Amino acid sequence: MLGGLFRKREPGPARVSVEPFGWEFEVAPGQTILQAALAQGLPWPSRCRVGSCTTCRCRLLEGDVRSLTDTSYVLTREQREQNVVLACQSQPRGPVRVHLERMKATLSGNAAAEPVAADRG
Amino acid sequence: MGKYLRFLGAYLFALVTVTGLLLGGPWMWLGFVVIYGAMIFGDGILGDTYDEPAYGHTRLLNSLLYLTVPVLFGLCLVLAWMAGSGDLLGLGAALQSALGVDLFANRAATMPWHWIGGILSVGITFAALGTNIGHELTHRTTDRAAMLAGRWLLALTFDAEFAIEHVYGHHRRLATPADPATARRGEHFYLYLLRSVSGQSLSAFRLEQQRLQTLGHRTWSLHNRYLRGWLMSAAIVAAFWLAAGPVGALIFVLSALAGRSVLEAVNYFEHYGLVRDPELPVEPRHSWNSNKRLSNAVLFNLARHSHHHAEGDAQFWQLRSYRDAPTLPYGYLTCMLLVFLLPGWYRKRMTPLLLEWDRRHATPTERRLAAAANRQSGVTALQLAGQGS
Repeated sequence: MLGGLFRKREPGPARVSVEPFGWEFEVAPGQTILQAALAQGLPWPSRCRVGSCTTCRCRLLEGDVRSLTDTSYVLTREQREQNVVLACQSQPRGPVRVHLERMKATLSGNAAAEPVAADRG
Repeated sequence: MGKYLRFLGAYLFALVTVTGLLLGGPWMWLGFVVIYGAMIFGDGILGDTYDEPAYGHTRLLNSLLYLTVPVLFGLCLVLAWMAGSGDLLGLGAALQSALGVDLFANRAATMPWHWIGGILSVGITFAALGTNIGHELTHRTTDRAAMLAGRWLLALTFDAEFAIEHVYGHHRRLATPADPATARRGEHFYLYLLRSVSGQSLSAFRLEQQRLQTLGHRTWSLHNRYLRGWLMSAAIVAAFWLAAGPVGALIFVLSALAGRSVLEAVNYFEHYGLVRDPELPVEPRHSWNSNKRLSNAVLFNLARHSHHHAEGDAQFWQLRSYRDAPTLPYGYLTCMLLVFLLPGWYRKRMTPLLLEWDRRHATPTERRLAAAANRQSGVTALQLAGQGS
């Protein structure tokens, strides 16, 4: 019950690999996947960063994450069954592999995502 | 040490409000007068701070949040005692023997009109501690202790549903027409108040309904957090009724509404007239920021609102100053008092700031949205600015 007061630190950084881009980075304990990705300068799409807009969503292919939010408000039943998680609300428990599917849809007009557009072009 | 002690300001104000209630009579106004007076003059004199200290003792800061629960419980006890008759929980006898204060005489000297001050004092204290800290705690959506404490704090102002709508609604739709808690250009505060309160409630209900469908639960069941939120508020009203009769319940209800209206005034000026391209991330420019030293100390950095919305995952002690963000003309309680008492004047005061926002902060798409908002605002100065460009 007193999780907020006495939260245990999870040991060591966790490795995250992102398909289909082949990105690899480490997430420090207490950090979310999105925080680590943006700190690396990766153009991970995001808007609200509180687990509500779902722009940063990705599919968990391997490994496990701790979700900081109740995704039942924002993800559909199908998405939840397909292991869709929100990068801004997910702390990896050990190494994880995810698939970022929203990239194309959010590229247009998203300044943060432009470097990838350039890479592909 | 000072960087921790600054966050005790709100507790000091709660103490002043409780003292005023205990003294009764015209002293009932004490909390209201001291809080508004100290904040308005204090922000004027102490000015801004751009300090961004690092905090190591985060447990201490978390404990400061949870301390609100017993403090506001104590305040409610005193409120119920003064509103009722008899000696609820022996408080009167205990204080008489410990401090020599005659609560019975103070209560007898309290006339109905003194209660206006009492209600306004309790209202601002409910908002500054209950709503504000309830907001901070309910951002921690999977921390069960934080959600429990936070929702009860919000229930004091009939707003446990804020925990649903704020995180999953307001943060997502910020500064777009779809957000009931973003005030539009030229919107009258009291009309906004009605639109915001009803819109947020409806949105919270829909979000909860959607969640229950996803989880396969029925809408009308105890799984429904929207309904449970209202039951929590109803339980508090019932407790006041039992402790202090119908008058006690009425005084609590009015205090809760006073507190809720404070939240809506804050919602109003935090995003007044700002627009956002819904396709782009929320940025610091989508909130009116304030680095007023006292507002931030007392309100646990709430006034550093630009960072809160741009990075909603940041804890209150991590919020940065964002010097270049659009900035409120005054501190929080000054803006609040103006919005309540001189809403037309406040809108006029914000007009040049909005035009500056359009020039300095808006993206090309947002400039188009802003131009449309200016045309619809009914504010001549905004409409004329649109024709000139």
